[in-house]
Amino acid sequence: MKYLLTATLGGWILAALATWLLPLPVDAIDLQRILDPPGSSALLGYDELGRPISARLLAGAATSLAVCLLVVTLSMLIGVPLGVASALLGGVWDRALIFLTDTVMSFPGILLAIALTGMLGPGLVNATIALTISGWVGFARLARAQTLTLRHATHVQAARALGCPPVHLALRHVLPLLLSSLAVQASCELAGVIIAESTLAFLGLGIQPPAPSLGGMVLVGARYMLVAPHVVLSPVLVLLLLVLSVNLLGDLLRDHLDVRQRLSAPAGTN
Amino acid sequence: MSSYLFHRMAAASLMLLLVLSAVFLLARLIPGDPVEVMLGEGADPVERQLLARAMGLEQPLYVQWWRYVQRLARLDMGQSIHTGRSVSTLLAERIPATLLLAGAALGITLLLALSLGTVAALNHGRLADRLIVGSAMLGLGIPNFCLGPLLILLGAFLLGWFPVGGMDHPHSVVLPALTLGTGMAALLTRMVRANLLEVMHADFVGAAMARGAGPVRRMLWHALPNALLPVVTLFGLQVGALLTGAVVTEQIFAWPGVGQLTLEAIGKRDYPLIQGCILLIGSCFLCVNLLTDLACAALDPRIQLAD
Repeated sequence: MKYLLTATLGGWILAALATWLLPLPVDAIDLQRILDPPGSSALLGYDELGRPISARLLAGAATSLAVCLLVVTLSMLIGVPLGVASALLGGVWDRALIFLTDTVMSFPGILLAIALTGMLGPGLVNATIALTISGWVGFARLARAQTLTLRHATHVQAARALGCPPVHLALRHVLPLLLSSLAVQASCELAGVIIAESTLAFLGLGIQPPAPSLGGMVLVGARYMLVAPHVVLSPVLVLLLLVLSVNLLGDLLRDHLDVRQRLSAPAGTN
Repeated sequence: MSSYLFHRMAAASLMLLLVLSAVFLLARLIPGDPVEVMLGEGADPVERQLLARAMGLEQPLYVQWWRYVQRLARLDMGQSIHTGRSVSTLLAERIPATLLLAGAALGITLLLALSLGTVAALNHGRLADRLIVGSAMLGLGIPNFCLGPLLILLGAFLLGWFPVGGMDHPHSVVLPALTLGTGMAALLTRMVRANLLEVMHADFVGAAMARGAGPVRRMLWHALPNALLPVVTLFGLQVGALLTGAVVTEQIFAWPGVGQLTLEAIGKRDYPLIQGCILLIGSCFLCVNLLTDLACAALDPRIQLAD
């Protein structure tokens, strides 16, 4: 299982690097080979316009990696400072954040993304914005809950007693202790974002054709399922592998990093 | 009980108001002027002014909001730009299909989760348990829009048992419902299994054994009902996933429900219709969550004390 995981994730990152370093023939149309099954000329066959599926899969996976990493990073950059700040400040700020996160969470995430991209217009940028808007909440709540328990830790109290300024306190004494649980949260969120991003692409709201995307390839492939099942099967299998391996990565990270969370019960749920 | 009920209802209505306002503000996100979107570029300025006045756009935002809420109270969600028919009628036409799909998916989910979860817990650590846990992991990871084509390939083309799409036959609901229900079934199976394993060693099950209850009776009569409470909670949360999953599933199987309507509306940039669909799905989600909380309170008397 671990080998599969390493292979998939490694392949994903390699695909991303390869796409940025050398141009893949994603738009090379060969009219003679429309819907050709996997064979000697191309590893995974050709799609409905005669483009090589393997190259498009690599490029699609690379774009999806970039988008998903961007969404998770942005979510973290928005959520973590808000969560830490609201836990340290407390009072009205804290209640405002709770209210905000409750509101965002009262709406199913992907529906929010569909609504936003539907209104703002489909496309990669809007999809990223929409996914970030529903994604930061998880980080904010986690950072807040963890900071609430850390606030009363001896070293934080000591730093505060020594007159440590709040920003310094948050950056030097609280944040380093949050990193491991944030890493776990990030890997969990990554799996969700991969699914959400490819779902948006499948619905025609994410990356727009002719740019290759895994979700878009499933959409097109589903139309040719009867004559050329390989067109739909290859992106489906790639997506399945990606989601499974990111999920496994999350589980592994949790087992390795999150020792403390098992010891201290999640506090600060008020 | 009544104070908990009141508390929960008040919170739910506040949330509903927030969702309303969010959907109202969503329309303000449309790039450009709504009048221009409706009439197209280069429209007659007089006509534009008339439409802006008819839509109440020259009023301040809070007046517009209040009118919007008033109209919603009469179930008036405006008219679809594309068809010119009222949004509530269009939605009402599509609701039965989605309800049928969601109902069938829920049925399949419960059937799979309860039976597989119980079997896995009874065979803890053995082959059957591992198989079930493994497939639950797979079912949890696969996105709806990937499972759909796979099921079509398997059930419609290879086996030829079910139609590819549409809702012309009674058994055409099977594949979409399976697609929609699998993720939830996987999650619930894990939950039922874990809870059963926990409850199986509780004192009251031991007491039942001492009174001479057999393993099946202990499991079904004593352990299962007590393992179900977290399942009910999760069930409520998952209905949100079910509703949004319906958007994807209906698209794959050409199922004429609310989800397909939403996507058609987005494709045609029919803004009032998009608002109506989002509002319907969002408020359904809120209502189901409320009902779940109330059901939990009714099932477990300890909950009101905690609140």
